[in-house]
Amino acid sequence: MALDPEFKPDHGDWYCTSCDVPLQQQKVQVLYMNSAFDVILPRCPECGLTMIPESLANGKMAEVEALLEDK
Amino acid sequence: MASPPLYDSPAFRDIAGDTWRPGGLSLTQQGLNVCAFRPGARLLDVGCGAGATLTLLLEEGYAALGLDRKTHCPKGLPFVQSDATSLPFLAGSFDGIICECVLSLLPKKDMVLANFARLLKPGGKLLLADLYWQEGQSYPSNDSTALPASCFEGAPGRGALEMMLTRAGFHRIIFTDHTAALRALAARLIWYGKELSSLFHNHCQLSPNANGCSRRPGYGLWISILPDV
Repeated sequence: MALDPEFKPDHGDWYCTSCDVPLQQQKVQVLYMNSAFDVILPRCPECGLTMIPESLANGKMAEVEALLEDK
Repeated sequence: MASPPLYDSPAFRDIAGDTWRPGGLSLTQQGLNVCAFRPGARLLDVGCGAGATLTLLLEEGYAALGLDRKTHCPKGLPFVQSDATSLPFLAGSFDGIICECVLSLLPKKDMVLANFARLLKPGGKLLLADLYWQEGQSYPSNDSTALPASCFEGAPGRGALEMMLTRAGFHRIIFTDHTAALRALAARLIWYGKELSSLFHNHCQLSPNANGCSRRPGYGLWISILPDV
C-alpha cells in the first residue's frame, strides 16, 4: 500500500487569507474517527490551516459518516 | 448490474490486509480465547478467503480445514472448494466452526445456521463475526433465499440473528460488540483507499426504511454453543 496519500484541491490556487500565502501540499497527521492517518493535504505554511478538498469531504467522508454515525 | 462485493476490490484488500474484514486476526483471537477449544480440535473455517484465520488456527495446533467457494487460499493449506450453503461434510464432524464476515453475504441464513449446528458435535461452538443492524430499528431478518448484493444489504438485525441461532439449536449465545473496528476500517478506507471513488455507495443501502428510520450498522462477535447432549 502506498503510504502518505496526497489529496490536492479540486480546482484552483488556494491562499490562506490570514497569512496571505499560498497553501502548500504538506504532510499532516489527521485525527479522524478515533484513528490517526498520515496524509498530504493543502496547508498554510505559516499558521497550519489545513484544507480538506470538497470532493473528499462531500464524497467518501460524508458517505461513511452518514452510514456509521447516523448523520 | 450489481457491484462485486467490497472484499473483491483489490484496493479494499490492500487496506484491510489478508483478513478482509474489520478487527482482523486480533478479533479472531479474542473469539478463540472465549471458545477455548481443546488442542487438536477439529475446526472448519467457512469462507476462509485468503487463509489468514486458517493459518492462525493451524499455528495454534488445531486440526483446521478451510472452505471457500473461490480459490483465494494459498496452496498447501487444508482447503475444500465448496459453497457455504451446501457443506459437504457428515453430521458431527467438527468441534467448532469459524464464520467471519461471511454469513451476511449468504442467502438462506436459517438453513446455513442449521447446517452449522448439524456439522458440530454436541457442545460444539460457532464463532461468528459479522455486520449487523443495531437494535431499535425494524429490519427484516434477511433470511431470504435471494443472494444479497452486499454484506451490508445481507446483514441481519442483531435480534433476528440471535433468534436464528436459537432456532438452529444453539442454547448459549455470547455477544460482544466490535463496531469500533468497523469504524476504524471505514476511516482507513477513506484516507488510504483513494481509488475507491465511491466507497459504500454501491455496497450499502443508505436510504431510510419505510418507517423513516436511518440504518446504522454494527459489527459483532457471537460465540454460540450447542447443548452437550
